[in-house]
Amino acid sequence: MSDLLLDIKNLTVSFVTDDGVIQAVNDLSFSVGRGETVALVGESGAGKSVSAMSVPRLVPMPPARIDKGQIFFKGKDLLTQDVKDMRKVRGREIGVIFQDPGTALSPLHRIGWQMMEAILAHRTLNDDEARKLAESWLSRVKIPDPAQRMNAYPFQLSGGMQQRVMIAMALINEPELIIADEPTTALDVTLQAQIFDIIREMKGKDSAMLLITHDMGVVYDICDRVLVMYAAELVEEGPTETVFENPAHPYTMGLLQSIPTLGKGRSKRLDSIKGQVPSPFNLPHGCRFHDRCPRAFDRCAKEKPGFVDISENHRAACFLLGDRGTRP
Amino acid sequence: MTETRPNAEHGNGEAQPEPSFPLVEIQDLKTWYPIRRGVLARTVGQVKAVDGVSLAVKRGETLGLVGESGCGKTTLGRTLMGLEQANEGRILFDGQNILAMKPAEKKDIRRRMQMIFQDPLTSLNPRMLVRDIVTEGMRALGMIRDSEAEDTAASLLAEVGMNRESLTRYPHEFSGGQCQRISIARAVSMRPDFMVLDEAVSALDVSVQAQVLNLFMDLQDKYGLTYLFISHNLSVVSHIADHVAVMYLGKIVEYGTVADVIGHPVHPYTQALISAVPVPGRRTQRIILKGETPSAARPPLGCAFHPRCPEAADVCRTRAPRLEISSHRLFACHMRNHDR
Repeated sequence: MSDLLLDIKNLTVSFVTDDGVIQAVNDLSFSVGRGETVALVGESGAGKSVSAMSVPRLVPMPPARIDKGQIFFKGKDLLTQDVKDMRKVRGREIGVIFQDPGTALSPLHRIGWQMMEAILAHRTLNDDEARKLAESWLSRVKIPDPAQRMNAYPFQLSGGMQQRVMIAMALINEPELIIADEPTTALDVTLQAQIFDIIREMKGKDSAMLLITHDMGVVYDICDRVLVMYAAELVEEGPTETVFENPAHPYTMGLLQSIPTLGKGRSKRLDSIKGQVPSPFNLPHGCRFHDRCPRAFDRCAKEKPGFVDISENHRAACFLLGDRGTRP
Repeated sequence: MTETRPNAEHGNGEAQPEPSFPLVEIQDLKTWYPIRRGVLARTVGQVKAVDGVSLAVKRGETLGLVGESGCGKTTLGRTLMGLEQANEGRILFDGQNILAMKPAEKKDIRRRMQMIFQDPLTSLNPRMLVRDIVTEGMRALGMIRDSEAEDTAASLLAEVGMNRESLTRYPHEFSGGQCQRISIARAVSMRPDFMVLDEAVSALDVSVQAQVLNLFMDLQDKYGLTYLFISHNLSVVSHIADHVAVMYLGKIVEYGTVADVIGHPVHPYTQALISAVPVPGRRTQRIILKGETPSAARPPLGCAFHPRCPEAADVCRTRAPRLEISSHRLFACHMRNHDR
């Protein structure tokens, strides 16, 4: 348990709906070390957000249900903590940056009040000290006139400013783990660059970050390690550069090839992955990617492939890797 | 610029010599929205969404129009399609100024210009069957008889990679990528020459996005279509476009070939925009711009970009730069003039 900050073991989460039970996360295991930045990538519905939001237990139950697994955070299993203990973890030890600041901030309260609430929930400071701290964080995330902005309601701020307020709120108690769920998807690229600049600067060396994104450029830019999810399962994980240069799972390869890259000039066609993401009600047997995989063979439709270690910290679940990680 | 050019008959006519002028030419186009206040709804100002844009789209080519939210790129596309009212300027389609035409004269032009919207689900009528959606335009213009609808619709769907079973289903039964294909089938049914693709792949997941981009390229090759591809995603634009125009606060700040603009941007805004795009395999020094895009209702004096520009000088605060040609490049910046 030494350097592992977060260690998820065999997490399985399903949602109970009127139309049946959907598996959102299946048998997911991964860990995040202290100070590490890890990306969780995949297309819509792959289970990225549910996996990450299960950590601070922010997935609403019901309809969600944790079927199996453990989530060790600093050595203790968060899934066995009671509600009161979880409140001490959330916002203090684990900070969350949500995708849409417009809906994550309370529309009825001034942002200063919301930030002070975040501070006072966890620390014994008086109002003045909390106010000063909140103000100083607003200026750290480069919000002009922080003292004045403390009195603003979220709707009076632009999307970029709201997102900076959210970042300040998530980081204000200097959490050891930051979970960022597509923090810049709603923003323009120049703002995205500003936001990641701020996150990088604010994060500090000791805090780890789990970043959910579908932007491979962002992953390459700021993450140490990358986890690739497909249809509720992890299919590949490894150090960022290794995965980009030497992807092992056909899905990861397809994903990387289907991204148009800046500066390559006008090219003919993209090597897209055929077909579409399977419906959660009707997941394929065997390897869940087999019906879209250009290299699938008989076994893929019958059995589920296990993980194969390819190199240090790099593993993928695919029969093509053989049993010892060498490609046929 | 000549007043009107001879009408080149219908775009899909056979063996006609290709006219040398561009298919679409926009001249000093302005689309302003009035800001109204008070009980009398008096106009107290103007949002200059498109403020003096001139652009040309060559036949069979794709012009990429990029810029951040609120820069006016969608308004420009909608003005071209006649979905917004232009205040000033001219839009020459195949040599004719469509802004000066009477509605009846525009009927065929309308057919030849089609648009694909960002949100595939809301741009399809939820209460119509796919068969009726894709053939509605053709039936309205009398291009087919009702009895032919079924077969025509099936062949249109085949064109965009969908099967016949989809004909009798409703839009909500399809995924985003499939809905976008249905929209494309509907647009293609009119045998257009020109299509405005407004963030047409932005709502799609990467693997589906790649499929739809490929489809656009295939259709262009097959029918010689001309595209205006509007997007905030520079990577996608650099993949599909021949030329790129960069828009900031209602004005074009840079224009050129993809290789020039993306590979060697000249305008400080384009440079910042491109450096901000994270690219797998590239870790470069970012140019981090200060602040955000100002409101188009109160654009800054002088060059609209000066409050965020790392290189702004006094002249930028007082005088707006014009779009000028300097060594084959087109850009609007005082600091990048040819004599420098």
